[in-house]
Amino acid sequence: MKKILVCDDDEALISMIRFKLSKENYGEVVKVADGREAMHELIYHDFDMIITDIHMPYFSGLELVTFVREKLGDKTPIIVLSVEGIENTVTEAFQLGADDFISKPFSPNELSMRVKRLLSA
Amino acid sequence: METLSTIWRESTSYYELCALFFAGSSGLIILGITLNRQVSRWKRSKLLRPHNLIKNSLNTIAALAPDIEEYATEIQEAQQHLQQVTQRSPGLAQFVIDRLIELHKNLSGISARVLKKVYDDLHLYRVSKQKLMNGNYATVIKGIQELAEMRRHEDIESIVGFLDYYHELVRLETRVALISLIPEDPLICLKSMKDPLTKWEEILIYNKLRKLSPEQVPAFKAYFDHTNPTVICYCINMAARFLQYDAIDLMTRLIFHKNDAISWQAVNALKMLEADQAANFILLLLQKTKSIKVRVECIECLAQIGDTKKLAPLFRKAIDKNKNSAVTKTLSKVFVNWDKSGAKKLSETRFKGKSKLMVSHFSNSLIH
Repeated sequence: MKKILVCDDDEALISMIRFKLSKENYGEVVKVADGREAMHELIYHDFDMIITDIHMPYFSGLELVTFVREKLGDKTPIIVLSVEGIENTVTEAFQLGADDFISKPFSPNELSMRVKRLLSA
Repeated sequence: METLSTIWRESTSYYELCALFFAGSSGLIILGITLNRQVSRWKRSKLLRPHNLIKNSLNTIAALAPDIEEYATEIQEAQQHLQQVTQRSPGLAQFVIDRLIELHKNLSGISARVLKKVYDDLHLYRVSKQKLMNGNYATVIKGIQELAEMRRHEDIESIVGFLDYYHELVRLETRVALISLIPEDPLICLKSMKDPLTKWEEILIYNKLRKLSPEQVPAFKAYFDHTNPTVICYCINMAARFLQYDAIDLMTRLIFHKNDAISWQAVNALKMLEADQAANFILLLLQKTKSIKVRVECIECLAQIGDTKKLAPLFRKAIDKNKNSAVTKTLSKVFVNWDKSGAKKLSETRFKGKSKLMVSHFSNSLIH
């Protein structure tokens, strides 16, 4: 059974993402509200995928990507959620090791398809 | 037969009485605490149930909307749950609105459209519109934000009235709402605007203008005689950005405006449009103006559009005479591109600057 970590400070959105991914039977979805909580989860548990927002309290999505790639040396696929119009940040996220990005606002089906593609890769 | 009182008197000592009293009272306290906990747990479960129902219903609608044909029954059921819950209390209706707006902000396509339909079908816009009647400005702002976020074009008339509201923040929020609700005319609020244009509004308007086709972009020169200087500056800037060459004549007149910000903006716009026909006027302004910022802009503009042969001797004199460091620096930078003597002049000024810096560095008491 796959395990996905979803990090975003927007409770309504992560709750919807969790609902969508559970409905599509992608596995267990763990939701966290900030970067610190996400790091804690990543230290103690293994995940098959990480979906993270860029702007979060304590640690940003970019810091989380760096943490996973450099500190943990983990190759877990990471999808970055970003607001429209911050192309530079998205480029930086790719340079740091993110695998994909989705710009907000997005369609739940688009997210589902990207998750499916990365999980099957 | 022994009576209760005789037993009591005979068999209970003082210590036993105390122990009995403490046991009884502590039992009562424990019972009270347990009862209190149970009541609050029951209350919480009563309160949480509708909130969880709202969350689940909205998640169902938002997540399954792209496959609406497949999940039509589930979506309809979720909408019915929401309808029942929102009718129960205004607090729950507000919880639905807040959650719905959060999702609407982050989702696109069919999900966003269906969420908007839920907002309309459940008449939640009435709750938002009620806030507009409130005396508290923060509540009014919340109402305007909700209507704007849920794209209530039908309620534009109710919002427009707040352009003249007594509170500055409400006026600002109204303008921002109207810019997003009427994307085909982003300058709608500028027409009678008295407040200074904020950076946030400038960015919002520019983003909307960029999405218009070239024929739809308005003629900004119509706003050059506005009473609000910030609006004039913004429109001059936009006229230059959207390459409206027919505005050059009016811009040339505006460089002599008594307001330095407008004057600076007009010179900057002429520089952007490379309006070489305005060079003589800018030279005149350079001689007349007292504002350093405008002078620097004039020099930079002339460097771009002026006749170098004609300007070189004038600039050479100006470098020698000028006392302001910002003007001298700009003059030197411009001059260095024109001839060798300019380069020499620049290195001289740079050396002078450096030597001053070195003197101040070595005269520092900490070094000695």
